[in-house]
This record gives sequence, C-alpha cells and structure tokens, in this order.
Amino acid sequence: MPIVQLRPPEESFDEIIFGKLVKLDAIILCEGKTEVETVKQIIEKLSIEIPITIGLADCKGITRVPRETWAIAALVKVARKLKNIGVLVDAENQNYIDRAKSIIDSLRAKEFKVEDLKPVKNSQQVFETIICTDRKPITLTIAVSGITQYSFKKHTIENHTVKLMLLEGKIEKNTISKHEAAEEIVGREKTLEIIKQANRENIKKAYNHIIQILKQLTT
Amino acid sequence: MLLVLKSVSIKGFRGIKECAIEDFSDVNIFIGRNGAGKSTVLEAIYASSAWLNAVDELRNRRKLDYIIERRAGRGGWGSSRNILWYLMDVEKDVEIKLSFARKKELRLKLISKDFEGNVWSTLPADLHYELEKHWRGYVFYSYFKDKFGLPKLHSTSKENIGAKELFAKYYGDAIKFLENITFIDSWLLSKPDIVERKVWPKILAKRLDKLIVKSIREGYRIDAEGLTYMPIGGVHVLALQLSKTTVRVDDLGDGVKNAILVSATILPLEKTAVLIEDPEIHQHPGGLATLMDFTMRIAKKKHLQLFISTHSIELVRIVNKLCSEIGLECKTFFLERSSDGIVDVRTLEKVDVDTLLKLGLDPRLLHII
Repeated sequence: MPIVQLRPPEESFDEIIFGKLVKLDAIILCEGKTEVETVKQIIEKLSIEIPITIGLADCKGITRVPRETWAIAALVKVARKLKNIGVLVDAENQNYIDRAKSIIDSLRAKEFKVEDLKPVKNSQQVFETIICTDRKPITLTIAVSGITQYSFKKHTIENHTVKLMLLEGKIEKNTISKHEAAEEIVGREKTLEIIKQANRENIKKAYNHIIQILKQLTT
Repeated sequence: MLLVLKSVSIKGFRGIKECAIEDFSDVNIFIGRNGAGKSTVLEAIYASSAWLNAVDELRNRRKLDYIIERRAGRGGWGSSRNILWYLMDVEKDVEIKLSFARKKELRLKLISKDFEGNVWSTLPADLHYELEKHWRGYVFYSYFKDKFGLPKLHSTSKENIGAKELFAKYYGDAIKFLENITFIDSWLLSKPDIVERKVWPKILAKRLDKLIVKSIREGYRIDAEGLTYMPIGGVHVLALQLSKTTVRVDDLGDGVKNAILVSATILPLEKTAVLIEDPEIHQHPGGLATLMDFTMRIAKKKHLQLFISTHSIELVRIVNKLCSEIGLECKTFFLERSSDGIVDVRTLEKVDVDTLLKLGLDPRLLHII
C-alpha cells in the first residue's frame, strides 16, 4: 500500500485497524482535494513505483492561515517514525522560492529550527530543507504549483493541466491570454480525465514538480 | 485554576519500565493502544497518594491492595504484591517521582523488603539540615506511618514520631492535594452502595443533589425530579424520582447510573486530583458530553486537576472543546510502550488534535507516524 489517502478518515482507518498499515514513512500535505487526486492519478498513469508508504493529506479543512504551516507544525511535534514531509502548495501570486520561503518563515516564527531552503535538482519548483527536532531531523520538501510565465492572476495546480492541454494540442497558446484563471479553461472535474487520456511524456513535462517531489520523498 | 501536579516519572511499576510525563495541564487525557500504560499511569498517581494515607476511604481497603485486586490479582499485598514490580523484578525498587508547582518534588518508592507495603519517600535535600539534627542516617520517610527508614530499610524508626509537621510544611498544599486523590474506575461504578454510604450524605448536606438532577434531566432527557432513598429489602438505596415513578439507581440504564455515580463522587472534592478511567463506558456521545460538561465545570469551580484515560475520540474532542469554552487548559498525551517497557509520550494541545483530525489522522492511531 504505497499511497494512503488520509481523508476522509475512513480511508485510512480500516487500513490501520486491520493491521495492514503499520507505518507512514512520509506524508504529503496537499493544498486541496484536487492535488490529492492529481498526485494519485499521476502515480497510476505513469506507474511510478513507490517503495515506501506515503500518506496523502488534504489540508483544506485547516482554516488557520497559513494552514500548511499548522499541519507541518503538528506533524513535526508528534511524529516519531515519519522521515519526510512533503508539501504541495500553489504559488498564488508569488514566485516559487518566495512561496516556499513563506512556509519556512512561518515555521521559524513558531520557533522551529529549519535549515535554509535548497532547490532540488531538475526542478525550479521543488525545494528541500531539514527541520531539526529534539529527536531526529525531518526532511521537508516543498513543491510549488503554478506556471508563473502564464498570464493568469493566480498560479495554481490547474496551470499544469493547461500546460498538459497545450502539449496535447487540446488548446491553442493564445487561449491562456484570454482567461484570468486556469480554472476557467480546465474546470476542476476535468483535470483527472485529461491526465488519464494524456501521453505519458507530456504528463512528465507538465507535472514535473509532482514527479520530483515523489522522487525526493522516495529516495 | 490551582494547578498542583506538574509532572510524573515512573520507573519499574507494573508494565512500565520507564515513563515520564511532563507539563501536566488542568485536564489531562491519556490515549494509546491497549497495554500502552494509560491505566498504569493513573495507578501510579493513585499509589503515590498512599504515602499520605495508605487506605482508600471510599473503597475501605489499602490502596496498593486495591491496585493488585482490581486487575483480577488474587489476594492482597502479602500474596500477590510482586505484580506491582516491572517483570516482577522485586530487587529493583519501584520509583515514582511527582513534581509540583513551586519546584517541589516528591520521590516515592515501593521497596520489596518492606513487607508492610508502605510507600516511602526519599528525603528532600532542603530538609536534610533539619532532619540531620534528630534523624541522622535515615534516608526514607513514610508520612502515613510517620516513621523513618535506613537505606534498604534495614531498620526503621518507631512510628508516630512527630515528623509529619515538618513534611506538611515543606510540601504545603501538595499534601492535601495528594491525600484526597480519588480514583474513579468501573469497579467503583459497579458499587452504587459505596457512593450511597460514603458520598451521598455529603451531597445531601449541601443539597448538591440538585445539580446532579439538573444535569441528568438536561443531558439524558429524563424527567428526573429528584434523588431520594428508597427502602428495599431492609436497606435504603439511592433512587431517581421521575414524574410518574421512582427507579433505584441500580435499575437505571448504565449510562445514567454511571453519570450519577461519577458526578456524586466528584462533587464533594476540592483542590485535589481526580483520576477517571474510561469514562466513556456505557455512554452515548450525548450522555458523554453531558457528563464531561458537568465534570469540567465542577473541576474548574472546585480546583480539581483531572487525569482521564480513554479509548474514545469523541471524549478527546468533547473535553478539548469544553475546556476551551470553560477556560481550562487541556492536554492529550499519546502513550506508546515499547517491547522493553519504555513508554514514549507525545503531547498534543488542542490545536494539534484539531489539525491531525482535519488531516485525517486519528490521534489514537499516532503509532503509524
């Protein structure tokens, strides 16, 4: 069971109670349900081998801002076996590194000892750092969604679906400039269907940051 | 809120080789798998109170004997006492260290050579100068017996030597706090007669029964009008007066019965700790919320520090929510015992419980991370 969806809790509860799931090696905190489903779909479509057990958590229910920081803080505080925490967030209006730094700054403001961010090889959108705890260090990998070259007002996971649609020849390049948000082109429910039907190489190009975060967490 | 017990450290007691829990709150919830050590932590705190009074006045038996008996141990201290030692290794003393506010510590021991089964304290360094004057060489003290002991209890002083005042002055409020610690478990709740005989007169004297009736009426949707004594078989038993009939407490549903007994046991207490084992038993979530609401409000009013063991996530949520509303600090401790008896403790504040639940991680199942 390499991937376990944590929400709704019933998804993981049975796995734990009936003894199949004894340990999570890593947890990816996702911005929302779309990210959770996208990650699952990419793993399935590309047949990515996951040699460890990764929990996929949807942070949408956490209302405190920045919500991913609260989730990281809670996990770092209580985890004993967890080696890696991944975070998949939208760039929104920031550039990739600033968005990742904002999470580190929030953690430091909560008095966590966090090393400086380092970019991960083969991606400008994935960064890694170490959170030092009294027990053992936890690796934090942050993948920032969005394609800042696009003229959308906000940069989100749907930007990548737009890129995939472009690569697949489903839309023209000038379509982007006609819309303020990627969601207007994609429609949330369409993402999974588009990935399902797409060419594997195009998926790798469009969702490189997701593939890189999975690599970082599993190697 | 009067916060007295700050931390506990346990070595070699029952299934626990080592366990340290720090930064206790007003309300402390212990969660974890079966055998994690939740009940043993409650028992260790309860056993500590035997340093001051070896007898549980409510149960009318020695506290250490009760710990042995309540887990189906046969016999008392004399025949079954070894089970109190980790892996029955009686050569190593059981050690329980309690830390109180104002940095006062009480280091207690159970020593197998002591066939009387006293709980002994080591002598606080601050008292050494005072004690050296009359009690040179002694290293242990039993407050209950008011006597000193030499190393390894080779010899002990006479009893009732008049040293209690010295210790009472040193430990201050902690003495009364410890002495009155009350342990509510399913054994106690299965004996309504104990509450009837030992607790109910105190309740009636101050008409605190009205509070219980109000809580039962509102929380359990029962048309309760009052509590009374009802003559049955030559004895008088506690009974709930309804609008059309009167029902013995024994004959009520288990949830309502337990709520009455827990509430009655807590109400007369003040400035002490209450240890409650699995209060969710027989409770519908609505009933549990009512019982916990009552318990938290009384705890706040009467300065009671609560230690609750549970397997119920509803209880964790209810108590955390109530504490926020009422203004009590609550912490949840996840206990996990390794195969070599070391208990690892993870501390969760309300925000952690809320965050984990929203991520889909049940705090009771933290062993997977």
